[in-house]
Amino acid sequence: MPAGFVYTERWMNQAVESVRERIIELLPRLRRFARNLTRNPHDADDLVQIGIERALTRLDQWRSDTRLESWMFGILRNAWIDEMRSRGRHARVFVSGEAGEQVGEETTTATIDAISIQTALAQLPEEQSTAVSLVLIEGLSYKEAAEAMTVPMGTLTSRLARGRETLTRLLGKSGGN
Amino acid sequence: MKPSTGTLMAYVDGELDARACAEVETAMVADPAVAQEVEHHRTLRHQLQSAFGDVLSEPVPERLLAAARTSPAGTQQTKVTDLTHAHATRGAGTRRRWSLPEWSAMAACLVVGLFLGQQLWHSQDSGPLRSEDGHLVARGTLNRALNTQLSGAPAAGDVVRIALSFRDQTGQYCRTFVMQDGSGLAGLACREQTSWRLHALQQGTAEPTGEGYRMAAGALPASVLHAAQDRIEGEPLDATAEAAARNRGWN
Repeated sequence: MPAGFVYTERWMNQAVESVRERIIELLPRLRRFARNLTRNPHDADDLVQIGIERALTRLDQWRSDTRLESWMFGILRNAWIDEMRSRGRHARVFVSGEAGEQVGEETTTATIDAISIQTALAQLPEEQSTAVSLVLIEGLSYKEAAEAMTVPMGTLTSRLARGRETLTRLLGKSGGN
Repeated sequence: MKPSTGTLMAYVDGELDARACAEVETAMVADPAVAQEVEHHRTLRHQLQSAFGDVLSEPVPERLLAAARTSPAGTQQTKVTDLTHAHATRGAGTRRRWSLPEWSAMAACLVVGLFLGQQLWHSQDSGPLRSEDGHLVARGTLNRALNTQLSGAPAAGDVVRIALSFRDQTGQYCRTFVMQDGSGLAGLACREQTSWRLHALQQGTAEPTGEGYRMAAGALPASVLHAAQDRIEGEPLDATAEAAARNRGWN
């Protein structure tokens, strides 16, 4: 069935092109999520690049009932976990120090607020900060966030609740709330 | 009867169905501590979103655009890039793109303005609101829903969810509603002789996502809730009292 084959191939190409366009639209959000994961803008963009490459080569693993962003957030997180394993734990300590340097001379309340929230989020364990990041910042549903983190819904909601509690405590302490 | 913290978080996160939403909203009106806790969770959510929003308006590096446009696609196993390789290929591209989230944020402002503008300027057209003696009153499907629909889960096909009903200090009946038609319009309307006059109106609690705007499951916005708390006398009507009030024509 040569005709059918040609049609299928053309259809596939169009589908891939439309995924590429959607990835481009998602780039700002992928970068934001990656920054919250890595806490470092350079690592974040490297991670997004890896995420794009992995997503495109694994398009057959993308289930049509999953939103592209949910799937890609999951890819980014897995890639980052791999990276952290290969780097060892010292990387995180270093990143926290660097984030602290960003507390500059700006004294507007908004800036102080933002920095204290960023610092607070950075103090959460990764699984909690990722849950907070996916649901509260990226606006994923519980189901989508649980899928992206490959955990049951109950695990996701308890991580989210613990993350919120800790953030509230930290922000209350620093006067950022 | 106080909803659990998990339920209140789920309410703010848009995870509750209409019935559970109505239960939380009833508890919020009855107990200021519940309303306060919801407000706290909502504030935290907004704080996080604004604290991490800057990156969305930054130019996307050219190398990421290039990766999206030209990285090989397919199902074959390819060499997995590591961060070191990515570092090596990092370019200094700063091409400015009109990215979707920026556009969405602008659209949100326009929608609010356009929507209310349309209601006020083209009051003869169909729509949920019209102007009467300088006040906004419900019309069309919204007016019908306020007249006839009981609070709680909307039936299939209903475009309005009535959150709760109560009497205000003057004895008038008031009802809060959330449109389910995608407009996200929510408000508080009180009975004024034969019409429902709007005392609070808000364009929902839409939050930008990659898919445009995901409504927080039609949650009642804080401003509408506060307006209800200011006017309520006693407790919200229970199902029996509400049905009786409806059958008397809300007078």
